[in-house]
Amino acid sequence: MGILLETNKLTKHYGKLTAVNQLDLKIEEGQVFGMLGPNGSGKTTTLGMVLGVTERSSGDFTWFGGENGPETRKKIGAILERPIFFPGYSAVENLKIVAKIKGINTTNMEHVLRMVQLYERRNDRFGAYSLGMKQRLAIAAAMLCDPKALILDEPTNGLDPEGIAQIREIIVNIAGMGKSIILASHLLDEVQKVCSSCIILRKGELVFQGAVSADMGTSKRVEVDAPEQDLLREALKNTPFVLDVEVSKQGFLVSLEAGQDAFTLNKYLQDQGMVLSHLQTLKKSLEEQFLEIVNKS
Amino acid sequence: MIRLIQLEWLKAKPARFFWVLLLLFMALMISVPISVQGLSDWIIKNFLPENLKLDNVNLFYDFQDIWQNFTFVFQYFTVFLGTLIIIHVAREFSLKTARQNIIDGLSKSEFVWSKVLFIGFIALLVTLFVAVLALVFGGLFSPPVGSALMFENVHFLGAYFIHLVQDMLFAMFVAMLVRKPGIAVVVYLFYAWLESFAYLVIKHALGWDLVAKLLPNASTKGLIHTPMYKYVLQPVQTFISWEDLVISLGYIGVFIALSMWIMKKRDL
Ligand SMILES: Nc1ncnc2c1ncn2[C@@H]1O[C@H](COP(=O)(O)OP(=O)(O)OP(=O)(O)O)[C@@H](O)[C@H]1O
Ligand SMILES: [Mg+2]
Repeated sequence: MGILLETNKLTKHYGKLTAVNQLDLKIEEGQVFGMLGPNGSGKTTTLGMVLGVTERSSGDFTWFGGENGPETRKKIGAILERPIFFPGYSAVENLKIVAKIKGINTTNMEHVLRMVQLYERRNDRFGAYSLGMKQRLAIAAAMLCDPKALILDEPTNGLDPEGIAQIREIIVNIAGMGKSIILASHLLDEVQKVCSSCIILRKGELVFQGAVSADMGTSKRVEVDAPEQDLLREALKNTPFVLDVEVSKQGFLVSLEAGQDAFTLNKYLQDQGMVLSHLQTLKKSLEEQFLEIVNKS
Repeated sequence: MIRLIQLEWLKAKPARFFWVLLLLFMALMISVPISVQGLSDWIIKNFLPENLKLDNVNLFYDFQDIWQNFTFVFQYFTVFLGTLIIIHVAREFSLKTARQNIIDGLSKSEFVWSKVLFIGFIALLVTLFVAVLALVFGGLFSPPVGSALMFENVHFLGAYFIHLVQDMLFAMFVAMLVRKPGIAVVVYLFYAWLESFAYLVIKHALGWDLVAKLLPNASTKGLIHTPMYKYVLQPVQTFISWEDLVISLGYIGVFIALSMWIMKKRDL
């Protein structure tokens, strides 16, 4: 599988505020990838930059291992923040516009409308749709070009449980067709249910990247101690795969990057000449981890 | 290019405001020759001495003159087309469809070009409509002239086309700048009103003819000089001067470039 999206020190400033800070991402093709973060953490800003609507302050990005620009976007179906269509126009009239922009014919239209169960309502005004129907039409529009990748930003925002379930089912179905999906959400539950791996953003910075299910549910936090605490703290701070160090009752609580564990940490520290007096792996659910990451400011 | 015009057509066709403004505009255009006919009949009937009365005489429709007369008068209705363009463009920003268009794979310059092409397309249709009106009313009421003479001043149609394009591009620029349809329309109309005062001051009080000519709205109406003076036996310019043409074409370039610049610079 190739690379879907790669960003290199992607940054966006709004005046003094840094909405996205030096973001380095590498997302593989063929998976449902979650972008998790609380409100205002920079998810939409990041997606806006890689989709060409938000001018970036610095850094760059490529799709599909090296492409960029409008022709690339034609191969992507994307919804940012909310479904956007002409409110007075019907689903069909709106989809014709999308097809014209993508330079495709409308033979796929019936198929995508049926997929989101809007075929019967295709001639009604978009403005008269319920929120759930609007979201579904947006997904239909994104699927119209049979895209290589689908970008969904908060697709279940504001929906009732039934609406959420409908959207999830659609997403899972689309994923089953082998499409790459990037799903941005501030709901952990949503990401956990449909994504295989994810990143967590906080205040525009990447604070976690890894697999969602197995690896992440047991994502490693390790408690360590050594007689010489100052030296240990230094050594931990200089360890490349250590994300975070906190003082705890029994020494230090260390968060590790995905794929690292107590063994690799111990080995690394030994190589640096540190001998530990205490080493314990703490298991933490994604929920706890997310809340912690998010609440820490 | 065809794709971009088709795109604008798909965007405009289902919109009610588009048809309302366009039909209103065309109705106004048709009403002019009809009411002028009525007015002149009335003048001839009531005021002209008996010995000057001729059947069906109305100088307004005389071939050669009709091209300048019609296009000159119709310029004053272009504000409807300007308003149409403002709503058509600005709502794409307030509804955020411009943003979605870019996400879907339109480039920012294609977004601007599709509006420019659409403006050219409307200007062409309207110019053709005026040509038909002129031929019909001229055919009905002008004293017969040879076909060579008939089309002698047809270049005013070209000037009218340029006027339409320039005025609508100005409207497009205002819409891209202001982005809110309601406010953009107010700005556009208020600017026209303000400029007409500025024009009077600059031209007549200060006597700076060239500066007055360079004002955007004045220059879009500058190509076609007032033909009515000939009815009080004053000289009338019946050609399009190079100077006026250069100013108009210059503005066309400037409005496209500025719109492009704003579009590229701003987030959507
Ligand atoms: N146009 C803008 N002008 C100024 N600041 C902005 C603008 N857009 C976003 N921001 C700021 O950038 C930061 C990131 O916003 P962004 O919309 O990317 O967050 P998000 O992760 O998508 O949040 P949410 O979950 O609420 O959608 C926020 O602090 C926001 O206030
Ligand atoms: Mg967002």
